[in-house]
Amino acid sequence: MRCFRVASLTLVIATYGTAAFARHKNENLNYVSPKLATGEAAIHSVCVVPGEMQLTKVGMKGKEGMEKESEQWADALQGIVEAHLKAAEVEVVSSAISPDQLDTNPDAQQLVLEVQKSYDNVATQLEKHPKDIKKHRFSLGDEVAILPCSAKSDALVFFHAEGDVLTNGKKAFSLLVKTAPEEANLRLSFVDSKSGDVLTLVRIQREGERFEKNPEKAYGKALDREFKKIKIGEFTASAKKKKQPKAS
Amino acid sequence: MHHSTKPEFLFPRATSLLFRSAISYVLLCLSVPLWAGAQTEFQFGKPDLNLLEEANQIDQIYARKGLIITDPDVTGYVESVGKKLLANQRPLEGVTFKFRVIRDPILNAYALPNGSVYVTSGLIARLQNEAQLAGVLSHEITHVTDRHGYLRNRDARKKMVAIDIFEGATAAGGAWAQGAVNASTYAMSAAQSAALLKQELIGISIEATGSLGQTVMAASIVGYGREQEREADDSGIGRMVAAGYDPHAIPQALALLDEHLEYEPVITFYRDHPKITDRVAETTKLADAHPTTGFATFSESDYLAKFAPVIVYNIRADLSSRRERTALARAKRLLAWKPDDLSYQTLMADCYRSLGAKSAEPDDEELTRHGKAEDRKLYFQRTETEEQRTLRSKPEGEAQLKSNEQIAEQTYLSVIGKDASEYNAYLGLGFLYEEQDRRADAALQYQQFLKIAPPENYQRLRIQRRLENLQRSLPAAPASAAAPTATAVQQ
Repeated sequence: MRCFRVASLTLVIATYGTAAFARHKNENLNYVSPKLATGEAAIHSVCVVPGEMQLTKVGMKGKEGMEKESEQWADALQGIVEAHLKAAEVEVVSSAISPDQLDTNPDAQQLVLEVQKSYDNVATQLEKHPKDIKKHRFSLGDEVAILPCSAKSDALVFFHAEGDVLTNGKKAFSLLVKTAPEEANLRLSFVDSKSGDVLTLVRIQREGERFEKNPEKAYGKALDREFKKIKIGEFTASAKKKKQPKAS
Repeated sequence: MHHSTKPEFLFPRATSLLFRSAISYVLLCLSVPLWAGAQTEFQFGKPDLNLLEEANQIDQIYARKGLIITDPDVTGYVESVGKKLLANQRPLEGVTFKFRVIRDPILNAYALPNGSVYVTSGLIARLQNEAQLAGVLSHEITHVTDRHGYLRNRDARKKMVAIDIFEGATAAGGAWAQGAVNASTYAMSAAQSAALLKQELIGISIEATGSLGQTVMAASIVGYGREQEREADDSGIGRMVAAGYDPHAIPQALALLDEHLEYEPVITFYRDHPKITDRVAETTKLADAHPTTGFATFSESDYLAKFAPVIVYNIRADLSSRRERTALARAKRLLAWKPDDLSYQTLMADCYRSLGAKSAEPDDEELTRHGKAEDRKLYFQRTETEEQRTLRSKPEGEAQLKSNEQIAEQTYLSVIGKDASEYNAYLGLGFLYEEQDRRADAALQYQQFLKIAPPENYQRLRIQRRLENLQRSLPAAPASAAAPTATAVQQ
């Protein structure tokens, strides 16, 4: 009996300890390919390829979709990302395909599906081993060039986000038992719009309800910091040279 | 005064009682199916109405993302087969039956609780005739009429509460209980469960729904459970007979699906072996109970005539999804039907070119349990480029590559020889020559493509760029002598 009690207590402590240790914190990460880091490629203009952005409601009886909230969140996030790209002096050319085009032009839909499939083919390995971007490992191939906006941009931005929102019941329950927190992941993959090479991946992880209620506050500054780190727009070497005053 | 040397009891007695109660409740929930089977009148509760709403939203997502094939001939045909099966169906609350083909190379079919029945383009490309299609649709119709989606959802919700209680009582049981629920509710392997929860490569159509209707979408991959699937097979067969279809088409269709050309990231209910062999045996027994004559016959030729555009689309989708062997098998099927069709010959050549150093059929080692496990591991570890590089590094891979490239080249040249306006053949030949580093020859083919392809062809920009890169890399002298002809290659 004594052994059972000690073992149970050890198990409980280990579980809480592990859960606390493994608990996601706010985190910003970026991975940059040598092509971008050395200036061989430079990103001054991008085209955003619509990706999946999903919020999931997590309650006591399992998960449910949040379709309307997801749409609003997706629109807000896209707006925020584009605004901060522009602030970094990256031109945002027209999105790969507008919602109106999606409704009326089946061929345009198929082009986007094709390009997304190319992304999906490397996405599993990319997400598992993002550091391999530094080894120039990932490329979608020049199929990406079939999108009309590829001609006018330096890079395509594949944009994905997912977030778990806890119900009030689940939040109350989490006071008693440590459960997975409310958190959201935002991922931006910049892909050379001519060759399809993956140039950089930015990951921003946020905890707490702010990511849904105030995404600008949750992501705005982080995006500015990451765009500076990955050296796009005004932060590229060539842009910096232009800005330096000429010696008199 | 006597002091006990035993430490005090670490958990109050109430917690111990709660712990034991939680275990009992969880075991009860996991063991007892909490559905009542087919119901004559279904009473909607709030969770059911939420699920119905989610099903409607899933329909909208598919439409918005262009995932539904809208060709009126295809849609009309599938609808007509569905309508025959519903001839004696009384109206059901919350159900409007719709039958659609969805753009997804994975072999699957599923029904949402609102009556939307989806068959993937991958499954359409595999079936042989209308009767087999009717078999698939009638099975899915039963899931709707018997409200299996709602019952499954209710069951899953109750089990989630059990998990939460267990988690609360033990603070450590959550992960175990979750796994146990997954294993029992969805009857899938640990790997499949993990993949499903992470939404890894579960198919374009299912991934598109995100977190909507998770219970129903999960069931669409792995099935509803033994009893409900048996019910669907049984009722489905009855429905087929009433509509004049030979019920033996169901086991025939299932046998077709037992195909092992390449690794599948997720095994759907329609592909799960050995369940398929069990289902073939069971459905054959059920079908044998019905008369064997008096049914209409349906030819494969008529079926292909209706669905050829879907099959062509799906071949391209297979090529984009690392399913080159499947693509080749389907292309050969179209060619067997219409051997003189130049577009199908070009498609077959594209498949051989895409195979690269891979063989057209799996070898014996790949079909063993170890071989399949190894395939799975490597599929997730390596990109397609890396896979090809590894294959080419071996002598047998190099030999296979040469063989595949030779077939592709001969076929492209043969097509061009018969019809010089087949621009896709020039395109394929250009890709092939570029892969072989025959830059001058590749440039010639790209030039031909750009000359004759329609102005709106979406590949123009990409090929223009390739041509410019090639021309930059070529020496200043004019391009080499005329491109090889079919005769020259044969010599």
